[in-house]
Amino acid sequence: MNVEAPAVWGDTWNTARVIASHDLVGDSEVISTAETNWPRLLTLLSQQRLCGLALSAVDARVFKLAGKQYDELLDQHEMQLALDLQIERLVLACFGQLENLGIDARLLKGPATSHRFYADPALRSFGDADILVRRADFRAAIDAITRIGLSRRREPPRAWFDRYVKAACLVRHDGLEVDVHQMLTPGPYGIIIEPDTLFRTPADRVLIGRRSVACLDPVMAFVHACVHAALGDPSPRFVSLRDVVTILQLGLDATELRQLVSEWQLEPVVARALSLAESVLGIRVEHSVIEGYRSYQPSRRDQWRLSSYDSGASRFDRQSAATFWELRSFRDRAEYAVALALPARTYLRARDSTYSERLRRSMSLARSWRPK
Amino acid sequence: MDQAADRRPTEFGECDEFWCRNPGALTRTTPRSIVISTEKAPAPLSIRGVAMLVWLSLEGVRSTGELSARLEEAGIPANLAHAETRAALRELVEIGAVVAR
Repeated sequence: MNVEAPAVWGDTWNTARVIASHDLVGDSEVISTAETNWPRLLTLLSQQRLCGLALSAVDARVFKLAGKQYDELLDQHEMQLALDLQIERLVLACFGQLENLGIDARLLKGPATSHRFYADPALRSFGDADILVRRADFRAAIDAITRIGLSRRREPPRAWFDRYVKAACLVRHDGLEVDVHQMLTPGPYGIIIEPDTLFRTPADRVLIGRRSVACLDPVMAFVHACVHAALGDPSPRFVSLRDVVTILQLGLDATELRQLVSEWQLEPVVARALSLAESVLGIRVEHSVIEGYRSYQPSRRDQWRLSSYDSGASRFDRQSAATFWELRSFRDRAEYAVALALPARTYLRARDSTYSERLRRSMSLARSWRPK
Repeated sequence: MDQAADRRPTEFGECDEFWCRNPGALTRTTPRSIVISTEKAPAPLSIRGVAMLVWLSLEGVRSTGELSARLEEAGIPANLAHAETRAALRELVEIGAVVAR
């Protein structure tokens, strides 16, 4: 997979790239921006959640800004930080609800990463909250969080289909979102990574305000950062790629990491995440733990799985078909196929589709996406 | 501009202590301000200047040397720490929040 700089951003993309990686390399180039480019760069920094790192780059004399530009960057940064704090407050409310019901949960990504792996949480902003629960608690966790004023954005095609979804997106009246996860990723790797194994080791803890919140241990957090960078958005944000490098550089137990990656067959995913981080951020990651992954040659099966995450219009369809073939039991495959091919009427109506159309499409996808 | 754009924190220029005594406060520091959300006032506030110094003093800073170190840790540039900080420090020393050494 190759992520190219979107042409729409022009030179500003390279400026954002240097800002995103300025403290990951020994000698970063010194950059500035033309006044005419500044509004576009500020928009890009905001979209990529890089305002904190941009201020850090100014402080490190890597990024030169005029006084007015610096003030505008601070304004934008304060807005993003205000959003970060609102999300953290929502996280505390959600964990309070889950704890009251005895539901074990782990905070993922955003705040769990910024507080533990960055020198200052203001350097790593986020846009929503992600909370992982056990499969058996998935419905109860959704119900618990809806009781504090959030509602599910999209219902599954059939009630039983919840067994196979990665997460449910819950939205509050002001637009803030919480994703309740039971898997780390959709598609075939979501099935391969047995979700409940994420709970087999004691939780790490992160302090938010003065409350201690459970999260994944550093090795699992690194693996999750790789999964997110390699299998999430086909054009991952700079911060998602930075997370991979930042967590790695803080030191991980190499034996534990290799065991976990091997158990979940994630060698090609880690290799892809590292390769993406290096090529997009323009850095070389030096770490003994990763040498084996750098030279990893994916098998045909690995390539088949990975290709279902590539960009393209039918990405969701490809992932669904690959998931079908990855399910272990006949019953799971049957349930999965029926829910997608013959969803509830309300689901079908919302998508302006028909049963015959969905059935035809499902059979065609399942045939064309047989494992290689 | 994006999702963050309509969530500008309220500017809160004057010293008011209700927030800094709140044990559930969530904070972020920028080179010119502290953005803070408390349980009583969950909508984040952006607090600048003197109020930031009071917050630092209430967080356990008890000398000007320690305060300088905390400002440096917080990434507050020297130029900002000068005029405003000196004036504020004098006030803090007067009210006994910071002990000058």
